[in-house]
Amino acid sequence: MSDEQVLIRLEGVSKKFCRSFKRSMFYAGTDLAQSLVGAPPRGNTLRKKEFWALEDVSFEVRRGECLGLIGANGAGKSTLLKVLNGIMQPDRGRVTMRGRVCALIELGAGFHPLLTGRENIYINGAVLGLSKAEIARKVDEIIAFAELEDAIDTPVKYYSSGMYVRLGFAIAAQMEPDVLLLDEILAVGDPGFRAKCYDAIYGILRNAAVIFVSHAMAHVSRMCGNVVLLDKGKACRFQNTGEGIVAYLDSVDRSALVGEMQYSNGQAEIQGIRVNGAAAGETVVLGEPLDVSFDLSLAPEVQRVTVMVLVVARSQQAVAAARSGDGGIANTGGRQRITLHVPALCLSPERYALAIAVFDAARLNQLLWYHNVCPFRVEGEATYVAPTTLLGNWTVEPVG
Amino acid sequence: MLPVTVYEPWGLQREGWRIWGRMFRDLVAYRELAVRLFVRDLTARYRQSWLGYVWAVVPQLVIVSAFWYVSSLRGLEALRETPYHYIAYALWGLGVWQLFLGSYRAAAGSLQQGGAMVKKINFPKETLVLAAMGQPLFDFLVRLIPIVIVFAWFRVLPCWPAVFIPIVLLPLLFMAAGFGMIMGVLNTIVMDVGNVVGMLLGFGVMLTPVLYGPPQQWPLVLVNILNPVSPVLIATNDLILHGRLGSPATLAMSALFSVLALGVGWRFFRLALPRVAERF
Repeated sequence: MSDEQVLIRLEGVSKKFCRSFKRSMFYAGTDLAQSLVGAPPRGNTLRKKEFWALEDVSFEVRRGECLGLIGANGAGKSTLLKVLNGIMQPDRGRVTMRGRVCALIELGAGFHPLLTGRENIYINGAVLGLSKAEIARKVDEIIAFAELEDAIDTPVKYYSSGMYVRLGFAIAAQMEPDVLLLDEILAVGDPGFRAKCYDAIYGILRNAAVIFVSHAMAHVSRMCGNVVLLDKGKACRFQNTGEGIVAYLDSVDRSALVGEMQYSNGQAEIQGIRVNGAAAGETVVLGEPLDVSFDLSLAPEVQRVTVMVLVVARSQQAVAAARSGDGGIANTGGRQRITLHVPALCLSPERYALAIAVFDAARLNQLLWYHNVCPFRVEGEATYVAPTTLLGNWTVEPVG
Repeated sequence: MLPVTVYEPWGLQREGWRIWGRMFRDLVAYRELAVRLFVRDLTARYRQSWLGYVWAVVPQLVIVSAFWYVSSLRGLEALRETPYHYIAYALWGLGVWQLFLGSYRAAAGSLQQGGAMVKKINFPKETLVLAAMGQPLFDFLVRLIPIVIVFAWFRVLPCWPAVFIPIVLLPLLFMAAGFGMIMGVLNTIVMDVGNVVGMLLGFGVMLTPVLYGPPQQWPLVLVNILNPVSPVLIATNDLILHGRLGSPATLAMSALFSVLALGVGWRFFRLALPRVAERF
């Protein structure tokens, strides 16, 4: 591929910030004075109370690529986007951008609350660099995309946050940029609109390079061909999105701090929760059997119960669930061992924990729940892109 | 071939004099945005008020009536020694002064006003300054209506060269923009500077022959020379009354000063902006 196709290039980009507000005022003043007299840059050293918000970040993004930018809170994602967008100057290194850049760092920046949606379309379009004629040509499309036909002549201060986002994204989607920078924007908006956004982004992606910032790994794995993980300002690139996501989950993992949580109304009790016979830290191989077992005892007034077992991933998404059969489990008066047997586990290799709930089968109220119990690990060849792995066989045959 | 943009530390400084070309090109490219932002602020400003544009005029009339009353007090008659009828003179002078002060305040406050836009969107921020300065200019035009009425009432007929007044007023706008841009940047770093300057400018109306005629005696005459706003105001009154400039040299000095202020202010604004964006 030719060099022409590299639309975003970062070479050793660093950016420093100051932790103390008073000091930062002083530094800003001296930096300003230096830049005025043309004194040589001194970006290389950290002064007191300063730290690198970005340190030596280098990567390239080509046309047609969507790069996921992930990392814990405060890892430098938004700072990096602002440097790419030219809002902030790097302190070291060099950023080269080719073509028209559109950044959705905050949707609706520049919206005026008192003006109507239509008026704001014109203003926001102009802010993003569209001419009046261009906007006039696209305004109906924008309104249709945002699904705001009824509300477009209402002041935007009466919009819901979802409507705000829809309008902002609809305007940006009409920009036809070469480089698109997206900062955590699909978080709001209902799933239907999100699907439209994906469609629009894929449409843009055919002709553009996209950088996509999100904490929602489901979005990242769907959108991005590869990811950059930022950790305290340092960047690490993963060609394999799945590996990047696992590294991200490791970097934000606080499971050591989160213990198991439980609640019971006194009518049910469970003990000895096991995964394949082990209380914690068990390793299960992808495609092999999985057994979840525990001992259940019930109060005499409860006749039948339903038991639910959930598998929760580190992203806090419940990725699999099982519910005991229709009739429920009868109360025999004594302690019973309940076992859920899964013949072939199809959870993608990652770390998971269990959640268990017990309901009264007749009155449907919750008797007991356990959260975050029995952490276990799934191992196997595949990497974590989606929470489940299809355990299929591939066949290849010549055709014709 | 796609346009290539490079961001480097001190990239702006390295550009040297070439940066001026880009500054002007940006200004032209984003003129439409400036107009839109101006219209946006204007409509938003009057959308929540019934009396609307009347508010641009009321304070002016109140101040002038107050001074009319004060000048009628015994011992203060000297105030009334203005080149033409006091009320017309003071109303016009105040209009010009407010144009300057309003433009300065608008320019200085435009970055703070633009908050989220400064932080989140990459566009030439001079657009914000330009758009903000549209408001005081608009107010000035609205204030012309009572001024014209008062001039007619007191039979002050301006000479025809008064049509050049818009050109004579340009230095005021240049100065306001230049100082405003510098102050706008400094305000984002430390508020104190702006507060002090704002306070001093409050007295400025006293140091400009707005509510009194231009002093003729030493040392008060310094007000006409050292205050760069005075020559402009005096020049407009000369044009209205005599149809020619009384002291073109001081006006020229003032104009030169204003162009310098604009140049320095604008350049400073450009260089400082990346630093400003960090501070929001």
